[in-house]
Amino acid sequence: MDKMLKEMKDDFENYLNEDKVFTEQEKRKIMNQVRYSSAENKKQMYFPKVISSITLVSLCALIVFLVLNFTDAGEKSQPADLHKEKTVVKKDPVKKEDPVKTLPKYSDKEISDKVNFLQSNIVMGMTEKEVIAILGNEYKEIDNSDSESGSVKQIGYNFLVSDPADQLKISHEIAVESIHNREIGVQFYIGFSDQSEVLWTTINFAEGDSVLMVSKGMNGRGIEKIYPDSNSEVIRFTLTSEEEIIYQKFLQDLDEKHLKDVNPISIAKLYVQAQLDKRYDAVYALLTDREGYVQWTKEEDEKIPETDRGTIMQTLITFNNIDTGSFIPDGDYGGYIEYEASKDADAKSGFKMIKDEDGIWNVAFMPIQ
Amino acid sequence: MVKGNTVVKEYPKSEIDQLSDLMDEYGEEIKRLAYTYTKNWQQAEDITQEIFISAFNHLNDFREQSTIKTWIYRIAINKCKDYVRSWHYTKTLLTNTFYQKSNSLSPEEEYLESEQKEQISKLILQLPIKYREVIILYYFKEFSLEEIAVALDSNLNTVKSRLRRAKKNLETKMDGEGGDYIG
Repeated sequence: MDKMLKEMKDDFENYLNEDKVFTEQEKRKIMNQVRYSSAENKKQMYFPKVISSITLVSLCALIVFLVLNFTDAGEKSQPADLHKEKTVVKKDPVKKEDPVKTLPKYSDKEISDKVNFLQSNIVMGMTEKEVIAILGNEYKEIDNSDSESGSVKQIGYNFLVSDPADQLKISHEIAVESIHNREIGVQFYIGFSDQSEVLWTTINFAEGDSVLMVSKGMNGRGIEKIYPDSNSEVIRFTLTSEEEIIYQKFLQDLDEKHLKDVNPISIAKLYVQAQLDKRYDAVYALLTDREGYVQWTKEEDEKIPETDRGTIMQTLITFNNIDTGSFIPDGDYGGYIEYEASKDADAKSGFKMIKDEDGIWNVAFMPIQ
Repeated sequence: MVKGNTVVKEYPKSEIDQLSDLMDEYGEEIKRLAYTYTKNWQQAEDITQEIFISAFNHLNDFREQSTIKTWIYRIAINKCKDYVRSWHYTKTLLTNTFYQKSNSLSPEEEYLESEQKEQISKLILQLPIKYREVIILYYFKEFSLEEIAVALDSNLNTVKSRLRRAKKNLETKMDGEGGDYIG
């Protein structure tokens, strides 16, 4: 083995690429970028000096202005001044005093935290009293007459509302535009059964340029992009009720015994759901622990910054249609799910799975490859 | 001019010229190294760019305890690992390897695929990164075990045992492929 590997250096490089891969053009690109960055840095170094000068000049101007104004005030007792009257006529005092409505916008992080809070704390079967004890009294009862979900009562909350006047502006029509503009951070709807227990929930919120709807019910859960409308394809991810039960059990203790006899596609779906719920401990626990296939430790995984975890939309787009994919075995304990994430994609996507020594399917590290 | 295993005493040129020299000397092999992590040439190009910009920004940090080769490889390996753990790599991009897998091969291609060394190269790229990198650095980039330890920020014994396991892992894969390899 040693001898063979030593002899195959050139073969390996040729296998990667027989031609030169680092071009003069790439080199020039890097040089230009470095030159540009250096120039920018110099500008930044220069900037504080400019700021100091501007501040000094502004201070002087302010002093001069105050002195002149003081002198001017003293002149007010003097008789008619045409110049001043003209100035007053030109001004529109009403316009000037019109208060500008500036709405504070909530960040995606605040919105995402609220969504996570609602997802973890409001669960199926909880009583109405328990819900109100957690979320407060600022809700509105919504017409439930055309409900097809079996609920006998619906209530709605607006959270992270920029304008207090919008606090109770909630109907059975989702305020997509206000959510998109972050004027309302989260709209949360709850349907209760005739036993006054939570039967379903819907959370509507914005992420990036999209408005998403997360719904949970007795038949499972789903997440869907509801804005902007896409005529070409629906982006949606759902867990079946069976998968939801397994998922909830798995989240409790992250014990793989719950995954016994679960098919690889459902395991992949649990991985996606955990990713959507930002339950990174569960995401890691679903990765293979087969010897030789572990690529980084749990501790290293915990250090991965949120920015590298991907947004909900990225997750939805990447794993779109994974549930309708087909599992293709590959070797004794491997295989991959082949699925069509997008009709426009050049090729089908592949999601790699590994069967661990205990016979349970797990997700391969870096599954999409 | 910077040379692979010689210790650089001083760098009389401007930083831009030093960067240019670094790219002349290592551009090709660093981009190829990046490819062995990402298995995608576009990503390898992006990372190579990041590596040399980072090297440029840290030229003053270069200490003579290591060779310039180990130093640039260390930067490269860290960048590659950061990248393969990031969202862009782990979740969003299909690599050339998968495209190959999903295509059905013609009999001629099958024949080429079965060429022994090509097959081994393919299997090396399928090894987990921690095994893949020690094989590549030791056998194809001609690093000593000590240099690998520096480049990977690891200790010598770990590198030795990883190399042993990497070869064992490769042998197992070769057996699994049903090949009759000369050991």
